[in-house]
Amino acid sequence: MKRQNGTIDFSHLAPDVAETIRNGQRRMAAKSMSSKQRRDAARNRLVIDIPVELENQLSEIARELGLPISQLIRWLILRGMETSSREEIEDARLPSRSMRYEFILFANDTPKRHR
Amino acid sequence: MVILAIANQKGGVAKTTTAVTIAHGLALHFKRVLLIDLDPQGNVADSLGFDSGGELNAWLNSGHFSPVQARSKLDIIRSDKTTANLKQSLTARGFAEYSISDALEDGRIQENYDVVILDCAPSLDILHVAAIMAATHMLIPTKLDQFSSKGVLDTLSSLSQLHRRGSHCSLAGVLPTFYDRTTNETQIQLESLAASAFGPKLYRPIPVDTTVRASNRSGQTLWEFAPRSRALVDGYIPALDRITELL
Repeated sequence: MKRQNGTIDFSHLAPDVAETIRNGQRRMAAKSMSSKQRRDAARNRLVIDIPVELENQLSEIARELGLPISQLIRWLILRGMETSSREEIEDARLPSRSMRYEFILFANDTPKRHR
Repeated sequence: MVILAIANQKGGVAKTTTAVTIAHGLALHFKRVLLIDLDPQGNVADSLGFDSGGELNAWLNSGHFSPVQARSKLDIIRSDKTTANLKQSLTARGFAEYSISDALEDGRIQENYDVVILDCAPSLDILHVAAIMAATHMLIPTKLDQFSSKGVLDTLSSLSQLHRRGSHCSLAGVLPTFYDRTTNETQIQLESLAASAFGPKLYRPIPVDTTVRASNRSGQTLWEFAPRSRALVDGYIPALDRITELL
């Protein structure tokens, strides 16, 4: 079913079908970009630096649960955003010595084993 | 007993490959499967490494039920050119649209099989009608192009007409085949199917994969010829999971 703005409403589709369509849309959008746009997109791509131990833990959970790791990470981020308030993040900030950022966040890099 | 018709009035959409792959997949999952070829081309037998045969004609014409064991837990009723004569003789008889449902009432079939799969021919003939009248569910494979998508609508339209004549067949799903992720046309057609009323019944598409043709030629199913092929892993295994939910 299509929404009024012409986009597809993915909520009624099977999750694997929705993901196939989204991936196809990304590929089509990338194909229609100029080489300059493609360079800019690559420059603006978000890369998250996480400790190796955490990455290994995530890979293991994804493998055990038969999930793509990207979906697991997306799910955990969304859950984190739902449960953490902006104030909590503000309170956890520490002043940074970096020229680029004013603050840094310390997180426990090795969380408890996910049960 | 689940009776699954694999149908699309458009030809060349991978109906037989789908029927054979799903049938063998279910048999490998310990279901007792009877696969019935309703197409006079007899390609089900070819796909499983057999010659075509006239069991369908013998069964529906004279009640002689003699399936061929194709694999463990998978029996087939083969079809051949005699199926064309069968259509004529069924049409001459009254109540031909119930010929398959009546034949499936046979106690040997009810007791010996969990699933019956009907591989329909790409036409709206009496065997197609009889298959839909007998089926509990219908799976519509479709190529991702304009004409095949129209074939899906035509098939659904005949399904709703047959509902008015007493069919209890429900749509199990629409299975896009020959999904080529490099072409925009494929993506457009897939989005159009997803946006249609049967979007929730859309299955994950079967990717284009040359091993499918090679497996058909070898007389082996994809499970035997290329168990790690993209068509199987990314397409038919997820489809099988959804079909298993019907059982």
